[in-house]
Amino acid sequence: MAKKDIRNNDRHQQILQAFQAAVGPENVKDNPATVNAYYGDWLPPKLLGMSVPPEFVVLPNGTLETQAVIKICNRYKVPFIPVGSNQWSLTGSPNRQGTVIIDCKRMGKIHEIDEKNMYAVIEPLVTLAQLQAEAYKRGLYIGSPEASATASAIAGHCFQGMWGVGYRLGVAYRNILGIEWVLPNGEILRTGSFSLDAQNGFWGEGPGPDLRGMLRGYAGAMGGFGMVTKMAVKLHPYPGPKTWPVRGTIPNQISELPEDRFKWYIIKYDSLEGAINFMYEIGKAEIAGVVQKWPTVYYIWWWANSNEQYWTEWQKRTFQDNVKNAVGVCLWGFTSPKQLEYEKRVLEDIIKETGGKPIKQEVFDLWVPRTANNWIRDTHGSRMMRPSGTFLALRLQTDTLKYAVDHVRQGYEWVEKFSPPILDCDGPDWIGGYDFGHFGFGETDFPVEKRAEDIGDLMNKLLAMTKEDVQNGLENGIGPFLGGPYHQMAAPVFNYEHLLKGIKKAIDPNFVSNPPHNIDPNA
Amino acid sequence: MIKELRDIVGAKNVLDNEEALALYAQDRSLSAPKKPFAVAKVNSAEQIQELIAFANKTFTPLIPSSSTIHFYGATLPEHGGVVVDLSGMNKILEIDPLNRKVKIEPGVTWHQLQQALKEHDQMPLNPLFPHPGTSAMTSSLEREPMLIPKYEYGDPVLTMQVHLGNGQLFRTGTASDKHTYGAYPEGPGIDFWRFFLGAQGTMGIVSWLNIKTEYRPKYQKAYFVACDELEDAADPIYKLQRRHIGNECFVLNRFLLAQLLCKEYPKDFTKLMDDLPPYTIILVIAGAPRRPLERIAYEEEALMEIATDMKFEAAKTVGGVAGLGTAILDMLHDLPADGPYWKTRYKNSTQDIFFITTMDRAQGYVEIAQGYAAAYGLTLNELGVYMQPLERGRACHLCFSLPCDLDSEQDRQRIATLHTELSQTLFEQGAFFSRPYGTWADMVYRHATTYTATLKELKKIFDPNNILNPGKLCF
Repeated sequence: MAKKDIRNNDRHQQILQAFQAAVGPENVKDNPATVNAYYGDWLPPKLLGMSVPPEFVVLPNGTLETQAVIKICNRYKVPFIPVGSNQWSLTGSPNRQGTVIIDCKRMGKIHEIDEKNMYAVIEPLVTLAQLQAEAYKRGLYIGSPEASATASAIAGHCFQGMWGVGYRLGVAYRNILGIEWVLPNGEILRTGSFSLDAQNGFWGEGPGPDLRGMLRGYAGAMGGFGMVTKMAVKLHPYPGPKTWPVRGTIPNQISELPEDRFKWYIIKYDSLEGAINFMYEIGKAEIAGVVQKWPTVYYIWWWANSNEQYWTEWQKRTFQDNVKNAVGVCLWGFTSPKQLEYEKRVLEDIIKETGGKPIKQEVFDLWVPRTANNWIRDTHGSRMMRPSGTFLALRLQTDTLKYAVDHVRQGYEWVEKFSPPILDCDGPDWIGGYDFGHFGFGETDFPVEKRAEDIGDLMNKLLAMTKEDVQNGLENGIGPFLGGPYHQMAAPVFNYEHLLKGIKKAIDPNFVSNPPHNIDPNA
Repeated sequence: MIKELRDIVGAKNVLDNEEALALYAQDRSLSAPKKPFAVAKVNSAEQIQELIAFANKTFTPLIPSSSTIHFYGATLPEHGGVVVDLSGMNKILEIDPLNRKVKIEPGVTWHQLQQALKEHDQMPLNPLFPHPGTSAMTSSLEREPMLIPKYEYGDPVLTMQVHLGNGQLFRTGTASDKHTYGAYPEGPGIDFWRFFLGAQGTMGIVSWLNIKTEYRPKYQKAYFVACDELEDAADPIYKLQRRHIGNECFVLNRFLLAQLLCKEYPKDFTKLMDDLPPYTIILVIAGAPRRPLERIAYEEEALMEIATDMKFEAAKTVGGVAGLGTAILDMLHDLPADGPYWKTRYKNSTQDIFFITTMDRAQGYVEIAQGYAAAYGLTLNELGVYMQPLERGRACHLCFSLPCDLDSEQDRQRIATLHTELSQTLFEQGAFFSRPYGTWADMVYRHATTYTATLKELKKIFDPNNILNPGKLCF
């Protein structure tokens, strides 16, 4: 028997008409060709059959139209998922029938860049790359995560935001200023200075207790707390050129920043502890703009132009033999070229004292021009797919640098235990320092065979590990990235169940904002 | 009730005599006195938990108070109840030089913290020369601006242990996970820590706090720039901050700088008022732990280059004041442990109006303040102005200090009216009162409707019986 077309359903038609009235008929989509494009990507949910196509895709323009759409969702009690650049479907693909995707494609304005007071006011479609380009023209800068600068800047700020330059500028949560935000119940919440002047978002806190606290958490609210339609974000002083310097053609483009203001080093150590000690000393000395201890796999992920090149170079062991326990440091001369000269001298002192050695010059020359500046402006994030078309992560932990070491070590054990289907990756330990080394982040990222049966099995094992962590009182692993299901499990252990459920119930009484995220208040 | 309080904190730690209650009924603001029913001096987290249980049972308001000095009415019991005096919890629980953080209890003062950190070559990120009795924890939780605007990552708060009004003992950030060092503020779940900042103790009572520390420079040089108007200070600071020059950077007008520097009142004060320029930028260039003098040298060179370009003089002093640099650096190195508060040398209190704005708008607010001050009989030489650049000069904290004789009813009334009217006008002109104390709360929350409604929803979850400092903010 032919499957019944849901579009003939009265209720569907009723909701369709309501959306059309709110945003215009041309901005509501329910045809299969469109809705099928909105339910999955390279991440496991679709591969594992956990996603379903949405019933509608609605494209509001601005806060008021978004509010109207969310109010309609509340009236008819249909779930909605706000999406930004839609590069991340782990929580952005519908997991239940009847879901409405609220796509921000008509909200791509940069409302304002206040050069003097160093902030920008943006809409959700504006990407980090777009904002960076505008900022450079004004001698300013904003970070980008390694997931790619082509991501929505607002979504990037709401999500994890472990920027390549987070060592200097902090994690993205520190960058959020005023917010205009449609809550799940359809109310418009303006925070910070926007709360009193909708035209002026320069300040993020208050008034009084800071409601930005609802927006994030270690891995964002996963669309469970409504949709941000406008955000003011900090911009930062930048000593680089007005346009991003590249030469050559894709995929062999290279990028070189002015030598009198930027200088890369890659210094290796005999042990991970040696590398971390080096990072601590750099933070204490208050130098540098980027400090990252990349795993071997990152070097080749970001560098390889093709799957073939990836595996050829891997087999040659170019990176495994040269960058193990290496730390990448980029010095920035904010004040003047003399600052850069000063920082070089300081860094060289630290290298000497800590027993570090520069990696081989030929490996440095091979890697740095093509790849290193991605940590300042990432355009190679999608290259993480090179080896197999997907990747997974475990043990994402932020606390101190020292704590990160212990956790990536545990990550190694799990990677070895489940290899294959985890592919060869040489101890995938990524450790970043943030806020001048006040805290550190550790993550174990690895390539994995992209076969449903393997990924399904592996996901289950990793989830079992997460459950075990939680039972042992460790808020750890990949958990926070699972949003709702994780919070359901972890909230009682870490004592936030009552609080999070209370907030969810208060602002999402119909449980329509991307259920089960951020948590199911009735479970 | 007194018996139950005594059972919780011990008989000697419950104050209910008139004399003691009178002390807690008022502070250094112009708020009308409000007497508590009793004062409970606590010395442990367990006692706070028990007090909260007791308060929920009896619907008794609890007003947390971390120090002996208050300026904004935040610890006055609007609805009666029990003041929870936390000043006896004054231990520095842990100094972690490797990760540059410190764990403090509520009663730790800035002086105490600064001295303890000295031994580890660390320093706290303190506000402008705080009163000796000021709690470092309350300052940090209440988002008092730091003197050093150079850290892009902003606020120093990391993690905390907080006793919620609903009786829950809660830890924020990675402190929720007992295996960690408690260094990261986000989580568990969402960014709960933000709800306790700027909350005036209405969302929970914090019993310890982890905050960042920074390296304490061994070499420093102070520079001063004389300005006729506040707007003359803004452009140099924009430039200096954009180029990452200096540690401490702030602007004081003549009236405040004279009070800060004067050792003998009124003799020194009068001379300083004659000698000092209307406004002074104070910029401290500091050496880092490694090659400190080399860092000072390149920053100094850049300072001089900017000064030449912008045609201002960055000098070792202003107004011919001898030893100015040393005096400022000494004060920065050794925050006072006791003695009179510098801001009250002219009169016995200062009634401050402060808010967040941007430096390019500051002059406009100064002109408004001067107009109001004159209308209420304050001369230009009696209005304090302090501008603190924030986050590399991206914004600023602007503070007007109105001197007031608390012993004179006439002066109290005059300054109270000036304070209210000037605050209202500044607010109408876009001044952002991010920390709405006292009467500012109504002024602010009436206009921030959804923000207020959402805060109230949160309050119901964190403190369903509204036992924590009721009557403050929008609660």
